[in-house]
Amino acid sequence: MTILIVDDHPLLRAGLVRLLAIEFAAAVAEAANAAEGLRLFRALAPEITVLDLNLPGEGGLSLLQTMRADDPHARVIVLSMRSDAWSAEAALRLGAVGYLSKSAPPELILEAVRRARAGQNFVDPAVVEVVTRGQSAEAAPNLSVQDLDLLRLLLDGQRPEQIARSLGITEKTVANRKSMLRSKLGATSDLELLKTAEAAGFVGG
Amino acid sequence: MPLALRLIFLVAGALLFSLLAGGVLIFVGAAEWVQAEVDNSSQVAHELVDQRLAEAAEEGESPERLTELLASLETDYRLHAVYETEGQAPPETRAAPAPRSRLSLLLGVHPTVQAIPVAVAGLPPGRIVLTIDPEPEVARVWRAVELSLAAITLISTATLILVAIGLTRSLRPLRQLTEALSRVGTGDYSPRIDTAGPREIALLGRQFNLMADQLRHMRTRTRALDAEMAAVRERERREIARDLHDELGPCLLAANLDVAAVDRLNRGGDRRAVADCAAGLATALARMQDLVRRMIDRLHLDPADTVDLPASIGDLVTFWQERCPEIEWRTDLHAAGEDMPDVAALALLRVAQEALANAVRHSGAAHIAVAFAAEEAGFVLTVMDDGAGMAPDTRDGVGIAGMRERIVTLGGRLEVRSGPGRGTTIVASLPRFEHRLAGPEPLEVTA
Repeated sequence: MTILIVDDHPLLRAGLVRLLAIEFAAAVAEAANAAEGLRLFRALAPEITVLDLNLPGEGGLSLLQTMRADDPHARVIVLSMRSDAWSAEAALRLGAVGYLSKSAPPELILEAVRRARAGQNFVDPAVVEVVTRGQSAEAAPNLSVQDLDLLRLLLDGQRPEQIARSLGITEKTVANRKSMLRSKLGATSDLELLKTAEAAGFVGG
Repeated sequence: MPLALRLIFLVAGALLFSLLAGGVLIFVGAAEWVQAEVDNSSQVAHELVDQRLAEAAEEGESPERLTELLASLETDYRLHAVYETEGQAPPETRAAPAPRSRLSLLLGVHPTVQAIPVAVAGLPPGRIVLTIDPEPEVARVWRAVELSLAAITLISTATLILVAIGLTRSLRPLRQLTEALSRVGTGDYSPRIDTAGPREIALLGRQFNLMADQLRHMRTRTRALDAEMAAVRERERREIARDLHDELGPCLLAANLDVAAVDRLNRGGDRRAVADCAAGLATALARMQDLVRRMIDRLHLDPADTVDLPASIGDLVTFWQERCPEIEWRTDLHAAGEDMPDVAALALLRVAQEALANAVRHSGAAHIAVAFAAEEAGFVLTVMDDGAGMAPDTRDGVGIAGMRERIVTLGGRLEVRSGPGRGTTIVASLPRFEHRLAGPEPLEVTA
């Protein structure tokens, strides 16, 4: 079995490689960014991909979208520091088979991989709780992958030109998307936008 | 009592006093004058009669001429002359006529009666009785007194009215000042005083205006600083959250993963893999310890601690270097020397923190240079980047005001050289002597 890990944090990647290799006696490949991840995904066709959302540049959600477009049967487990409803819903909508917070215990990660191998979905109970809480409170805004990528970079404190470079779009598009995002979240200013995102648990990572 | 009223009373008192004094003087003068007039009349009449009698002694007298004399005496309105023959009671025994008016009484003048014996041929022996009545004179004097008093009263009233108007006008700025001060007391620094009018009061108004300007300026500055402080706090909080989230979180998971792996290896007994996991754990823990230490360092820059400025700036650069390896860093840090006060070192360190954070976050610079030197005149910190630069209107939002406040308070200067597309250079310089407090100095900008 082949497992691909796409995460920009070297320590975490190393630990995950060791544990997955031991637990599943699998060949574990690792990538530190989206481009490398996509290259290995195409080259190795891994049975399971463990994907971080907060990748430098393009971001994990876009990579997930590309992977699923490449291979509609790709089994991707998202392992992210974000445990907000928006990211989880977006990831699951894009066809992720699992969604785990990085605060989850290792056993839960292994469980998610086992379920994915068996063709089942698995969502971190802590994330499920956040998602259902969000749903009972008010309908989650319908945020697109682009919205979430933009939000991630904004929360990272990046300037419009940096965001434009990361996402490969023009600054004008960044401004347009930002104002759309603001209206989706009912925020009148950038600060309010970030506060809303933070309140929803969408922390920069 | 209001000042104006008090002054008006004062003037009124003075006028009243002069009115009384004038009255007394007029009274004394009038009494003398009436007496003099009366005496004069009496003397003239006496002389006239004496002369007539002397003539009569030579020429003889007829009743017609006597009547004529008496009539001519009567032309003086103060005189009353009659001829009395012997046998009538002598004038001494008759009571002098009582004065007819109270004023005459007051002036101490009363009619006088004089009898001049007549013993000439052609007339029965008798006497001419002259009664001098001061009453008409008193009436005239009284008329004059009335006129004088009326004039003085008129002048006094006019004076009072003019003084009242003048005072009210002069003191109007004071009332304005009082109102303005009470508004300043409630925190409204907008009122300004009209500086026209008397010099002293105009000066007061100018000083008030200066004070209100200063207060408003200070409040504007305080508000800007408050807002900036809040923004800085918010950013710090965000950064700490991000550090915890981006760095500590994954490290903890990495350590946890290795613990889980060790647990599994313990069942299998693969020694080499255990060593790998242990090394992984050790790395993760060391990284976490380092992270925690650095976050604590950033949170607590205790002013009581001695600050080794070049070393602290070096640490700061290392911190950013690790986070932004794509930026090329250059440092030129010289020793601060023993005599650098901690308060100065701390202020420059804060400026370095803020300037570096701005350069990294906002400028998109490829090169950042930091220099510190202890020169003879003072300490100079320079942070230079080749990034986007700042338009003049965006400068206040990125902590420049806060930096300037720190430096200027210690008597130093903060110079910002920047312009869109031209990078940013911030030069903070502090004089060598300790803690000199200086007033606000305008930010020097070379755009």
